[in-house]
Amino acid sequence: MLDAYQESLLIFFGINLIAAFSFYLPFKTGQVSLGQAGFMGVGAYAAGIITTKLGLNFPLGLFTSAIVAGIVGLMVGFPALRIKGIYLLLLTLGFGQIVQVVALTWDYTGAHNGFQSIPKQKDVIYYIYGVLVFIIMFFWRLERSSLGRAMVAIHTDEDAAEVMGIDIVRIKLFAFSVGAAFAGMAGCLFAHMTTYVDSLTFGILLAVNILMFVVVGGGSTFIGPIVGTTVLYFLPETLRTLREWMELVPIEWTESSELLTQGYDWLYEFLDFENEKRWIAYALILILMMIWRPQGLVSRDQLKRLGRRFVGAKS
Amino acid sequence: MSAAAAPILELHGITKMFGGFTALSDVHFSVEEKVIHAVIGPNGAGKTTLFNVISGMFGAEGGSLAFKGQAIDRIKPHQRANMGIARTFQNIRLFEDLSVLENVQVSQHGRHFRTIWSAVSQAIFHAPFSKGSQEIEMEDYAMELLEFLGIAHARNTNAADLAFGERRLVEIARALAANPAIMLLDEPAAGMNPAETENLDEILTRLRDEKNITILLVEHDMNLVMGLSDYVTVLNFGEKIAEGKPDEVQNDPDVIAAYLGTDEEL
Repeated sequence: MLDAYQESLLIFFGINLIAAFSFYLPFKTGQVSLGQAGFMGVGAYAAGIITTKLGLNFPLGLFTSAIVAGIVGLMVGFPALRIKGIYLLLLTLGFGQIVQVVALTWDYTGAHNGFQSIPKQKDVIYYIYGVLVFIIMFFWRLERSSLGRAMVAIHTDEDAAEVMGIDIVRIKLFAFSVGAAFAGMAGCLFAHMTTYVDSLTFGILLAVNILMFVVVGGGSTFIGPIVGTTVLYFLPETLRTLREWMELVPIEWTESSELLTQGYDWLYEFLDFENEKRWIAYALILILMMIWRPQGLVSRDQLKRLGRRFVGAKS
Repeated sequence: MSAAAAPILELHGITKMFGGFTALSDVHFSVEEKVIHAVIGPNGAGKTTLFNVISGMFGAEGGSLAFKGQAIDRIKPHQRANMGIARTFQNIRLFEDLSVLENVQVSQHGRHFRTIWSAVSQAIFHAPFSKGSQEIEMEDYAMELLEFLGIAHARNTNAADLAFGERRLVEIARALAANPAIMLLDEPAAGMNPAETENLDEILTRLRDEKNITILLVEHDMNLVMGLSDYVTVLNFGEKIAEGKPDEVQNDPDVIAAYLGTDEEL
């Protein structure tokens, strides 16, 4: 079946996808958060205390991580209601910093030495994909419901939605808090995979990565985060293998002309993606994707049109 | 329209400031039930500001508002909508990424789901492949309104892709879906061609007569206003300068001086 490397790839892919969904839910109501890494930290530490310090079982830790992160999300969500755009970004960024400082200074959880010897959960992959099934079902239902429509309306024009009778305060708080709970679970799953977390684990880089998964994939349907996370997570790995693909080209083809040989050699040299060059390529691809499809790789509109083509023109 | 009936909407001394600028100054008037009541005045007279105050988007610095006899000054915009005050926007503000049908359904949400929990449970906790009775009910009602306004054919079109005149009608359908007692229409005929305006005239009349909805109308098209309205209030520089039946207002010297310029323009 899966070897250890493949399994760890799938594990971290799953955790990243949960994190991407945690960003996506508040984003549906127009709230852009750079605090999702912070909520992961809250979840990781909360669950770590349950399993490591109190010696209780992992499912309880997972449950606690969701509840604690959700409550913290509610507390951050309140001041976030009045703030929009770039200021909300700064507020949530500040929240992430606070989480990092607490992690760095809290003696109970190891302070600067990090939270150590968290018990490794051997079957964590089942929990991860269990949580994902639950989250995907949640979004699948949500996006076919009145609440889902209300969220899109809030995203498009908050003031107009409000005078149409939508309780924007409650809906935005709900989205922010449940999103935080998702992130908390991602953090808990991460901690019980790696067995060690510290203040640097859940930093700004992770927060930006989570944001990119959704922005690159598309923020108008839950397929977007799935596509975005898949592409961005596996892209660096794929770049690594490009040379192997080139080696499949029969040698007689390239030796048929001087120009081809030179071209092949040059390209082979260029695709030396084992090292840092891979990240330059990664960055370039990101930029190109944002130019080509600023709305993300998939959109709700696209899927609707596709759906209608397959179902026929009945509606 | 008996004189004894209580007005549906009462404005007592509404004052709205933007910094040092007085957009509305001590505006008093009341709107009787089941009438088309126009508010006219030159650009900058405060008409849209007045709508924003009534719908709750702006708080007023002075005065008070009553809807069906109840003070609503402290009531939030979405609650006012669910009590029966709906509006449209002068600069069309549809939810561009949603289809026409979905736009109309959005304003049914607050009425169907009073709490976030009822909305969440409707969304999450029922059979995965069925729409659910509430969803079907909302869709049927939305379709009924689209048919009433003659735009049912566009139900699956994204709001962003509609022709201008249709966009105005979707705004009206969306406001109607909230089941309002009073609708605030902010220049519904702006940008419409004569045929579309005539259609609008008929729709507004039917809303009043068949659906018993009170309409508060801001409009620059004087032919439409004078032909359609039961009552007219005139604002100028944030103050009420006249009110009365259309023909009374038309002949009011203050109105002619402040707004209409000369008699002939009418």
